[in-house]
Amino acid sequence: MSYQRTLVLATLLLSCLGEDNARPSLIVEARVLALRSEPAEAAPGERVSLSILAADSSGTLPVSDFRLGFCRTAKSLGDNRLASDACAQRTEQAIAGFSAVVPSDACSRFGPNVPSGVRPSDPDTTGGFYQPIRIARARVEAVGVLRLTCPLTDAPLTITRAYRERYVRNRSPELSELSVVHNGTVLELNTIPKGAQLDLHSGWTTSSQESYVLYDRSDRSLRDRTEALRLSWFTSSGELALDSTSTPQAVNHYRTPDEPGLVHLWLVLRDERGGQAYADYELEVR
Amino acid sequence: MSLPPPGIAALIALALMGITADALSQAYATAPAAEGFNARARARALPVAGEITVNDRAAQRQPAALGDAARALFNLPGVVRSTFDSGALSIWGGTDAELRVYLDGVELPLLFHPGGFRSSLPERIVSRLTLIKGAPGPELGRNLGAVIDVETQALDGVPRALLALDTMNASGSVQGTVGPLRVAWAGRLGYLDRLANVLAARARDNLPLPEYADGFAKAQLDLDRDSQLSAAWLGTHDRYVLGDRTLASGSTPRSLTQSRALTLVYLQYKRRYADRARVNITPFVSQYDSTQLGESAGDAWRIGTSALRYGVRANYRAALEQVTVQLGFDAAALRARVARSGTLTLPAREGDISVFGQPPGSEVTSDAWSTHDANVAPYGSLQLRLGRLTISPGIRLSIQLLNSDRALPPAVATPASGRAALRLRPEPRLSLRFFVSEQLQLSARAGFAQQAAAPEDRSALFGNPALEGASGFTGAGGPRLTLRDVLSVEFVGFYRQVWQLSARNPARPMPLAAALVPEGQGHSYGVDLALKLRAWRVLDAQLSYMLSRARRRDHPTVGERFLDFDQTHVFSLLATLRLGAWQLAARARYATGSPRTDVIGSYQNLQGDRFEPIFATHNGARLPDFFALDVRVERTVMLEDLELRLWLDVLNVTNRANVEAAAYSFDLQHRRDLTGLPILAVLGLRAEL
Repeated sequence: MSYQRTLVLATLLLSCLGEDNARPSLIVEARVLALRSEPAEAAPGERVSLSILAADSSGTLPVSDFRLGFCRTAKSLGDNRLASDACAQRTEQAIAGFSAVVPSDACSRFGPNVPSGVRPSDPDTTGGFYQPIRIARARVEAVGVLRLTCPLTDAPLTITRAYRERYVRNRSPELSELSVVHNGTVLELNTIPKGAQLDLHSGWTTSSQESYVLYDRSDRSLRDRTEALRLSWFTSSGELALDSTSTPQAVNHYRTPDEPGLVHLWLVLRDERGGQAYADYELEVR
Repeated sequence: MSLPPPGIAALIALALMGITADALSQAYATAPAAEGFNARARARALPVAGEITVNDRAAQRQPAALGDAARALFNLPGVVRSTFDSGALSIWGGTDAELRVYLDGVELPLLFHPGGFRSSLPERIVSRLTLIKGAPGPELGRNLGAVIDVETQALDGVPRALLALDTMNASGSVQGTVGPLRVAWAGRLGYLDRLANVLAARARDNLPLPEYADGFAKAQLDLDRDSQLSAAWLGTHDRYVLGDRTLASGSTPRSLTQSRALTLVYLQYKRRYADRARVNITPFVSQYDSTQLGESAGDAWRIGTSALRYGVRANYRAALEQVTVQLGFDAAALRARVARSGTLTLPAREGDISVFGQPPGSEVTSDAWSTHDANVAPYGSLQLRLGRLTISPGIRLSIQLLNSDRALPPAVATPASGRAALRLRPEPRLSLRFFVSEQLQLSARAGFAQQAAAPEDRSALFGNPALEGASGFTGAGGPRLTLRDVLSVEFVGFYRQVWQLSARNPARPMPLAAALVPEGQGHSYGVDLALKLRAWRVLDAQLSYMLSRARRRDHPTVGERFLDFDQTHVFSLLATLRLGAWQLAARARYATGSPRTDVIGSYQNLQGDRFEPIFATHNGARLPDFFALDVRVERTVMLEDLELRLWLDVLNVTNRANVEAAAYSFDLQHRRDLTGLPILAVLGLRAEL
């Protein structure tokens, strides 16, 4: 009966929730928009280069203001959130600069390498495990993740071998170029009309959508999957019709502000294995 | 450890029960006098604190009952108002998972359809409902909390027919005789979802409107003057889909689907003896299938359960001069196959903290497991009448066999091994009643109870196959004053304690197969008051009030918190005026707001492009208090043998916006209220021949 209660409550709540006026795509205060790692996936002990995109209503923020750190405390398995409270609220292992070596025990803290008798972390739907990374500065706290290359520990030997041979590490996706179209005409970014309805065209390159092999624990077999990607749109002013799109060549309608000025537009592309790419644009509204 | 299969155990139990019943009937064959069939009817004639019976005809005409007798349960003292009046029943600080519903003594796993607007019991099949809020007699068990005992109509063979239509469903029933059999059939078909779709495009996508259908059939045969055999079938099904709906800008579409189906068949053999002894034997079998599927932010979770229940209940009762002896056997087995995939956190459990709209965790797993449990419980009680005092000590010996097909998660090079456990627990029960005077009665009840861990909780990945079950104690007592059969006032104090409850394991690292641990405990206490004015001139009235506190502790290392269902004050007042063919009724309800957990901060989740909450004290805040006024108008017209009844129920007539939950902006910075249903009218017509 408890399951019934839960579902009934959830659905009743769904029915009674109205629209929310707040828009994730409108940047009104400082936010971290993306964390990118190169390479996009790494094994413990390997070095990665990290970069972040942060912004507020005035534009892109300097990254030197931010402190990065690897999380060390895993969240409990019954927690819906991305990271433990300890990880989210304090820096547990600081990263000097934006280059770091992935902690050697990352696959045991956040992955499947656990001692006998201990439950490993569950993978996400892509079969991946992640090292959380805290990013913070005054009044801004964010947690991003780095996909870990961890061994398959709970599969039969033949499958483990096949997985190791076939698995290709994730690569960061790549954004396609932004084009701004007004009444069928492609505009330069410094000639954007005020109070106009524009079509913004962007997406990702064909190589961004990778195929990968996944170990399916329900029937102990390997499956081939293709990544899903999502493009998030942000602006400092004006109104975007969609906060995110999920097609390779997407069109997002954008109403420019009624007043002339400089408008910032940020695009963040995420693949479902933790890879990210981003771009920022300045639109001169006249 | 090697144990007999539960099915064999149940058969052995059945054989033993038969021997016992026969032997006892011989032993008391010389005692004088005879009385009615139903063993439980006698127990009802002596209600003690915490037990309330409502009959079908009165219950279905209560305001806001919408013509469904089972909805009258929401108006009884001790029953907490559920969020959105969803049909979840929390009684005396217990959760709905601790409640059991019995239909003629057979467990009924599905009482209300989604939303709580309708029960699974079609019209005219219910004779009466008895709510025992804790510590029932030893004949009932297998749960920690309250028991709802539904008794179906006895069939008299008189031809009758009923047709009822309202804005939610149509129902009908017929009864009569076929040869030597007295037979009855009743059915109900819900069409609110289809009607709403006609009236408003895509209404079905935006509102949780259930499809449901119920059917019931019963046949009775008198084997001789003193024995009777009944056979009954109940089939019920409900389903709803809440489809693609963008909750707020930027959030991703999500959907929830639930479907449930129950088929229940039982036989009932009743025999009375010249010595006032009675035997009642009820074998039963039921199949219950449920599937829940949720999708959110690209992640999906699914849980499907197929549960076969079978068993037999037997009761022998003999009344002597000052002693009534009851002996019986209650054997039931449950074979469940469960398949589940998705995150550990969905479906949510009592005590889980989340904010509305928060996507489930991204980690997923999947498991398929089966359990086969049997509970065999011989029981006995004595009812000693010592002048004004009646003492009823009883004992139920709960023998619980638990079998799981897997003790650990599937692992390479390790053959799957199951787990079996045997758990023996005596469950003493006691009830007392003392007549201070003809008008004033003092009564009390107390008892220990056991509840086996649910099959859904015994996955090696999502739960813990080693879970055996929880234990509990309930004690209650108080005075009851009756004045000339017109006014009755009952005041009951209660205390409940439960322990070894299944709770999420917060440990990290966590041992294998231990996502749930039996470390939860809780207690509740309070008083409830029931005042009933019956047929005073043209007025009937019923006032119910409960003052209570319910607390839980999920682990020894964490502090106590309020139970999700805790409501300090729960008050309802029903009044019915009978003015000839007209009946006017109203219900007023007030309840303290339910506990909730505040969000005191947030951080960004750059993987999911969303914000994650940082919570304040668990259940440390409350929703605003609830108040609602409902009215009912009814007109009855008699056309010779045809009774026509036209009724209108208006819920929340003041259109008060009661806050039922809190929602947050995408960045969790701004909170706003989710309100309950606005004013809602349901019109119905009932024709009975």
